[in-house]
Amino acid sequence: MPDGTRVRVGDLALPEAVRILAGTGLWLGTGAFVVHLRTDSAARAGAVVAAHADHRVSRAPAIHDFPLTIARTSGRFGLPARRPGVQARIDGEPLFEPFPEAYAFAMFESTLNWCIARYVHRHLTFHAGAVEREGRAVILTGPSGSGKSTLCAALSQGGWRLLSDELVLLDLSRKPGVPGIPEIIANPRPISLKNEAIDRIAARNPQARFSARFENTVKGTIAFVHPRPEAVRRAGETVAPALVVAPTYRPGADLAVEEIAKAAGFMMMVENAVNYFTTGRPGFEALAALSDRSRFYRLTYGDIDQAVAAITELHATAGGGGAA
Amino acid sequence: MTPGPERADHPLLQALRDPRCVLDLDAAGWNDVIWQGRRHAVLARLAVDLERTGLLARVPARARGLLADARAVAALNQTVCRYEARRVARALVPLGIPVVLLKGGAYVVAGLPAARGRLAGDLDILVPPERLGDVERAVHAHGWEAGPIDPYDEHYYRDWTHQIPPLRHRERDTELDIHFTIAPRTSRAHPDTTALFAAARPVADTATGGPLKILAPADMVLHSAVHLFNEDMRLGLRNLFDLHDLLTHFGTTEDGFWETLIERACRHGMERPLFYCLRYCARFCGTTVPAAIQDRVAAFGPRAPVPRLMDALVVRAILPGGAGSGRRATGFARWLLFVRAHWLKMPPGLLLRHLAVKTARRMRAVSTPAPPP
Repeated sequence: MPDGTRVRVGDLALPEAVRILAGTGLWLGTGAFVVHLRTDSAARAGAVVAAHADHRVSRAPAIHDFPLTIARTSGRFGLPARRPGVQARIDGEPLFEPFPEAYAFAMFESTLNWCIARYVHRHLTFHAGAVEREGRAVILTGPSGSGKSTLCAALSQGGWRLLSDELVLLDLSRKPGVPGIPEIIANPRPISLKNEAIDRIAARNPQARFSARFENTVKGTIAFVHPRPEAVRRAGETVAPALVVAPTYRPGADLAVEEIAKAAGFMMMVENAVNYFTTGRPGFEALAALSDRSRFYRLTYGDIDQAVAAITELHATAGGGGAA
Repeated sequence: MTPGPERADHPLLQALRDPRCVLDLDAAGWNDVIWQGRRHAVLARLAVDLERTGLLARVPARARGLLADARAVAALNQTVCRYEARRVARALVPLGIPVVLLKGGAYVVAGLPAARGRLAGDLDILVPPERLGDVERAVHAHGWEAGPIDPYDEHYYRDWTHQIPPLRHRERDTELDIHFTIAPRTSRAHPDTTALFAAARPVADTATGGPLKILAPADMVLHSAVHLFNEDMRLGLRNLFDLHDLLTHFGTTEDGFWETLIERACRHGMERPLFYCLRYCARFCGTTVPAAIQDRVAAFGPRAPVPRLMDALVVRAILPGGAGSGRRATGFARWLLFVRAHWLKMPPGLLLRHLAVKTARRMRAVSTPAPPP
């Protein structure tokens, strides 16, 4: 974004932000992406602004990845809407069913994830989280509900930098034949926690900044932990992965760590990839290089501190990454 | 309606004509080019042109990323298209009949310039009408199945249009459209199917081997033109640039191409689509058409003021642009062209009957309560 017009979201006065969002919109840098956001309600604007205080924003047009509008539904010919609520649109096309206005921020987050999964193919994208320490990343992968977001939140509130929570982006822009491991592009965005995980992280990491809680969604109660300013500032930087961990949270379980063979790890990553087929050969080659250079572990945990200690130890002995 | 000069000057249209134009774009201009390019399915084509002209390195990084996104989708699409063509070839080899790839599938498999960055959706093939039953049995045995369809629609496809109802592969979920001619049976065009097969050429792609062919150059252009101007204006911009690429390529590589084009248009009853094709390719894509050909084809046009009216509709229906009220204009223009397409497709009595059936069906659908969300 042009420097002259770039500010932190938090530096904009709220009434001003609301006015701009209702008019020409703001170009919001969130994670590795730029969203052109327009919305017609002060409440929604406020929620988005509060959640993105540390993110960069521009009032002048920047090249954006996604033009998003979140606006109240209206009926035809000025009649009341048949399905009242607010609706997200990309490039004018409606994305999902209208949703209650109070869920606007949660919807903004899922809409953005949907857009990344749908449109972004210059990177190989995984349904996974990632954190970094000492220039080497840990990828946390697994199905929804496996406890990876909980670990992402716990690690990134400790000595780790959040790279990503929902979607990990593996850079495919490196020319073929150039040696080295493909790198993860930092895409730090709010971490979505569900149900009991919210209280567990709130108790363990009292300094964590939370969004409002969204009750009764399809996934139960959801709250977001905002990434720390340091992570937000370094969005878009790339980091080499060293370790892939597939966690499973089971209440009361003892810690168990088991190494996974590389071939099985490769297939596990394919299963969790969003656009493995679309990225074609570059995607395959990047994943093959990642598998060659990383180690894969399955980790069952019942206690967050034990899991964090185990991941820290695996990471310390994994080597790889960096310029290796 | 005044013609939309802003649409004819749209930065996307300019960039498709001459990729160097992107060097002057500001951020807002790039956003416009990228999202209009996506909507019109031409972004990957622009990406390929920028790379081939060595301009990609001068494109801002974020725009370059968005162009790479589009190229990845097109590359996958073409891989699938080539694979499906091979599967169809395998299914139909034993029949010993000519199988002609149509539209995007033909451009991609034959490696024509129109294939660059092109999204080829369904695979379209043309088979000899007298062997249709054998073809259907063969592709069914290889996994392509008809979806649920009511008897009226089945009858509509088989007796009045130029293709059978679309088939879908039961494992791969890919669509196969089998055509037995290249214009609706009931339309004013009267393609000489025997001549199409006689002139069809084997496809260069060795991997498909077997019976796969593509239409002869003039027939390929006419099929694309009749589809765009008489049937379907969705993705019209992409299809117009297909025509531009085909005309430019064959005009420079085929001896006597332009004369053959006129001769085949007369034989197939496709003079009018050819008139519109050359008019709008020259006007919007900058296609070079020999002056003598332009003069001869001018006689194929309708009487005034019809060309003016078509100009106004075509500008709105297929050129990029159209935010806000412009989008409504696009919708209205497309609707009028849809009505025109039906008028061209069917004689008045048949059209009335068809509309009556469709209206009755829509009324029934409205009176049936929708299932809860």
